[in-house]
Amino acid sequence: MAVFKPHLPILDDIRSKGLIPALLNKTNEAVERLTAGLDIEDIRSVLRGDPAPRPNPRLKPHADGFWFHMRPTYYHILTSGLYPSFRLGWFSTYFFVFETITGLILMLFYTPSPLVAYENMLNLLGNVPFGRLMRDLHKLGAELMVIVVLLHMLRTLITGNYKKPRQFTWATGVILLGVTLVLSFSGYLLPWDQLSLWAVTIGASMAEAIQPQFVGDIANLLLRGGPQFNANGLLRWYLGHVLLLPLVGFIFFGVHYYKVVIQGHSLPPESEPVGEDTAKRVPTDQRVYFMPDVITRELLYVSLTTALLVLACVFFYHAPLEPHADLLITPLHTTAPWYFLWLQGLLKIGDKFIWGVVIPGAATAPLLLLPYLEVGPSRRYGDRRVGLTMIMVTVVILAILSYMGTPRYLVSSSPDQEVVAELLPQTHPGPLRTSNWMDLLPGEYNAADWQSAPTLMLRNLLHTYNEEMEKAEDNPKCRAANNCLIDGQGFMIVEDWQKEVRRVTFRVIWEGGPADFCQPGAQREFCQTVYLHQFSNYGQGE
Amino acid sequence: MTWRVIVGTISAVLTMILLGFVAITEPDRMVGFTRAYGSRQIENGAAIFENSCKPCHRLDGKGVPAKGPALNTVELFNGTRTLDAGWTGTIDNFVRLTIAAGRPRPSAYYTSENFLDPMPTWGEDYGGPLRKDEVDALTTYIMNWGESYKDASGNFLAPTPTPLIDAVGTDLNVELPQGNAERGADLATAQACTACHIDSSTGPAWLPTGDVAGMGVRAEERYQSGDYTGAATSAAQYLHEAIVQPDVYLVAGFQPGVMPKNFGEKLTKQDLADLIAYLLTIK
Repeated sequence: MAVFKPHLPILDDIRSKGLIPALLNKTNEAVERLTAGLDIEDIRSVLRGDPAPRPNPRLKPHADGFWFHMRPTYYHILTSGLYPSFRLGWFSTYFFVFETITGLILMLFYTPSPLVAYENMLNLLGNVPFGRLMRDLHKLGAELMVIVVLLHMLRTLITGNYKKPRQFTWATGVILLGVTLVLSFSGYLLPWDQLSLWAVTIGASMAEAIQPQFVGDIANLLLRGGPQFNANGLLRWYLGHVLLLPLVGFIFFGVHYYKVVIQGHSLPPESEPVGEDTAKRVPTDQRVYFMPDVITRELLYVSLTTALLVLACVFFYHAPLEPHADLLITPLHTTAPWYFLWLQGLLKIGDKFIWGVVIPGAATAPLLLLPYLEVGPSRRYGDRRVGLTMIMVTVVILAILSYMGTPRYLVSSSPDQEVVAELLPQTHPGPLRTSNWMDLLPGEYNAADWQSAPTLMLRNLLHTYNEEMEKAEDNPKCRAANNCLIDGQGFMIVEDWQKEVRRVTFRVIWEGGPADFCQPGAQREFCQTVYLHQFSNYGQGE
Repeated sequence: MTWRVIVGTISAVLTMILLGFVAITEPDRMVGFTRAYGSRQIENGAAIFENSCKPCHRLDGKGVPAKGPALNTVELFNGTRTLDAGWTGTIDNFVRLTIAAGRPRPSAYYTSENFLDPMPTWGEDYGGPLRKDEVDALTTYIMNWGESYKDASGNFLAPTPTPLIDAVGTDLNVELPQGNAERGADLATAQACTACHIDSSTGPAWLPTGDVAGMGVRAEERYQSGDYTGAATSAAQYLHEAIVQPDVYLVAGFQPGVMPKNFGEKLTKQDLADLIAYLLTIK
């Protein structure tokens, strides 16, 4: 007599119903358990958009399932579409998840050490299938996430959703904005190229300006890992990027979205009485059920956005990779990332501590506390003329400050170097490196005689060169600095150097220039040399 | 609803097609990137060479007498030099190690060259200024010179034999032909005299500077001065002696053994005569 007698119910089913119906039945059962209430036929009817049967099985996942219990069972008809929220909060979440997935894949190929971080990038680009695509997606996703989060905040400001009872949701949102910005910024340092090192150096030097001095010194040491950026500093930024900030973001996202669900999606301002919040009181005839309506929209957004991102990164966008980080070489015109340009603009106004730390800090507090300070009951645009004007003025001020943050504004540099930097920039490939090597015929060329150059590419290059020389001869900036290139002449000398290597010398002279050719310490002359290899292929983006 | 499902499905399919496209093109792209990066390494290496190596090895890598050996020469790439040094590894590693760790004393290959200074250590690991990737870049650049010494089938060309010259020797009493000052001026650069004799602000040290007259005048005065220890009896002979027997008489402030002693073997009678003629014209 058997002590253990196995009993498989499926075998009984197969015996009584036949193989195929029994397996289908079992699959259906499994699906129903996974979705906490919807079987295959229910899912198909959701996707077809059939009217809900009674009793409605589509409500069960919201009651019994983990993932769907976080989502409301129905939306108000006025908030179920793109307007008025443009789904910016939803898109922020999408990018958070998108960045987590691509970031986890990138983590597999990354070591946070200055000795190998840059090599990891090269490995990712040259040895890892889909490596470049992942890097491009992660970078593009990060930039878009910053844009989406900023627009989400702007939209909330304009429609006045921060007002009672959603004050705390707003405050967590401000924290999430900060997390997003610092997340994106901390990712800058990780490739350990020139771009990363110098962008983050600008940030860390602001921390250094904090007064009293010992606090600034400690902040600086904490951020850089030492007086200069080093292995400890990189490790800190890495752990902040992959651990601390995502964790903080995750926690505050939880609170933020919980509040949204509990209080309901706020209606457009004009659709409810002043001072009242009717988001949770949705009349039956104005309900749009999550299933099928909202979920199909969201599935569409996911697949469409992902497709567009992949499309962009396969054909159009490639994350930049500059030369290896070098503390001894400061590239001409380093800037902060675009979303911190306003800070760099502030720094140009005056004292680092006051304009770089105190004022931005002082501006953050009212932003965080805005709903507790601005307590006017109406969300109607007509009642909020002052508030809306202030929002627009702030946006304009930030735009102006961002412009001031660019190298175009108030950066003193010598025009001779500027001319050459137009053709041979230090922060990206630029026109010379991306042009066809074969057309770069050896010879000595004068920018003024660009029309007589032998190839079209040389003519274009020399034409740009000549235009820059003419600009440098007289403009308001150089007149103010008294360093215009009077009687300037630009030469370009191309030599065959090695097999597949040419040496290009730019020589800018003014006011006659020195007699000798590119000697060290010469006056009224600027020389810069670059070597170009036939197959260095800078047109790729990185 | 229907169009949502349709567009969503098309998007998902499009993503898969794009990923498939990437999967197919990825091997070529990766090879392309690796090649492009190798080429950029050569460019970076060339820039480092110009900044750091030029003073001793010359911008074109042909070497500077008494300072640094030629690197742009077939002997390095076809193995003659490494064989002589007893090196059994690859030439690439020989170059890389020499750059990174330097040379505390000149290699036995160059005993006749009289190199004065040791090769400094350049690699970060050895206390130098260059990171590993920069040492690699420099190595790639130097090794790329080897490409120009290969024939069509990729074999290295035989080393060009040093042309046999009728060297002038170190005897002061040999009869020199008529000198050509113009050719002498070119020789002063070609023989890399200017690599060391650049003490004056106006150029090579034999030019007149401030109160100090040119070499032609100085030579005339020196062989007649009281502390002169050599055997010259004319300004021309003084210069002759200074070039082929540099340590016989040292001007105050200069050390013995600095100027190479092998110019007697490297110059023909005509060369020496031209150089002397050139120097005598500088008053």
